[in-house]
Amino acid sequence: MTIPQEVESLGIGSTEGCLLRGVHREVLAPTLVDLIPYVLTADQSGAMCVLGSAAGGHYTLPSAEAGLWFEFVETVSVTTSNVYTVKCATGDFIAGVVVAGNLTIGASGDVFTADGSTHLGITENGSTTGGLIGGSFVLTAISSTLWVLTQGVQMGSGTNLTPYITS
Amino acid sequence: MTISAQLESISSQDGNGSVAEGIHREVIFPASGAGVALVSRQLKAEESGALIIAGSATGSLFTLPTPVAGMWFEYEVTIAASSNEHKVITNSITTEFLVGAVISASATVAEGMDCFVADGTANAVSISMNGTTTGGAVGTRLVFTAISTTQWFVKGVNQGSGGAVTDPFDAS
Repeated sequence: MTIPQEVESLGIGSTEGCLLRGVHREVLAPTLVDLIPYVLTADQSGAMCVLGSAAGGHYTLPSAEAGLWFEFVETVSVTTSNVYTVKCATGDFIAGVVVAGNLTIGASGDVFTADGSTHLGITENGSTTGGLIGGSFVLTAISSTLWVLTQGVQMGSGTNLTPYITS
Repeated sequence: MTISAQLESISSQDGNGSVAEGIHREVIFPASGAGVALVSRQLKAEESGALIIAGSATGSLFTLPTPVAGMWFEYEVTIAASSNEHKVITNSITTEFLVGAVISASATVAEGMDCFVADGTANAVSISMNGTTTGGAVGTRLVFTAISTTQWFVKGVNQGSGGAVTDPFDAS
């Protein structure tokens, strides 16, 4: 068990576990301003974070801590002069894959891998690196330095390119 | 913070967050009646978080509740529809829409993946899967999450067969 002990526990510790019925998630849809990151915090873990402006937007993850997770969804296509970016805190990395779909090439598809040692985040430009409406991905921290990327779908146009950044 | 104030909170809002161990989910798997074939199963707000199973060869029909940001449902197909279709529709097709995308692939067309977009308008109020070209074969998995009072974000993998996959999103 890697989740810190100071976190509240919702179960009573029974071996049968617990049932959450009707549970709702937090949805974060802040007014994102290009180049000014929205800094996520640990107590927002589990939230769906909306990227919903053609003018772009940026989120910064909290320091990695096993069990934290965030989902990012793109509800508006970013225009090609702007970008959507999600970046780790200093010292953290991303590992995992996104599947790249292409709206301008039928039966297209590609896969891009984040290596967990140099990749610091994702940036999508509204065309080749994704950022079009419908894109989404989940980042889950599995240690104090690593976020695993799952359920990644990059919606792009033109020739698909890697969305990962190293600086 | 967009979650309705009248919802119960299972966290004390402590800054460190919370953890739920041994968590179980509600599973909605109608065997007959509402949710099977053309008979709609109206999903409820209090069922948010449930796993919905479309498991009848005669198809299925599930209607999402009026969206409140934070509601979500996971949807899985365990048996492809050989008659009718597997369909999920919003509660009010004039005011509640799907936004997002699915990746569709055909079991009979190698490297035949394609992606289809729900544009968040009246063009996309339902997803209808016929068991072949529009998907809905075994293994199809979709997640619907309300992001506002008018939109559900939809994502997932849609399994098709029988030729090139086609757009599963509908305006009705």
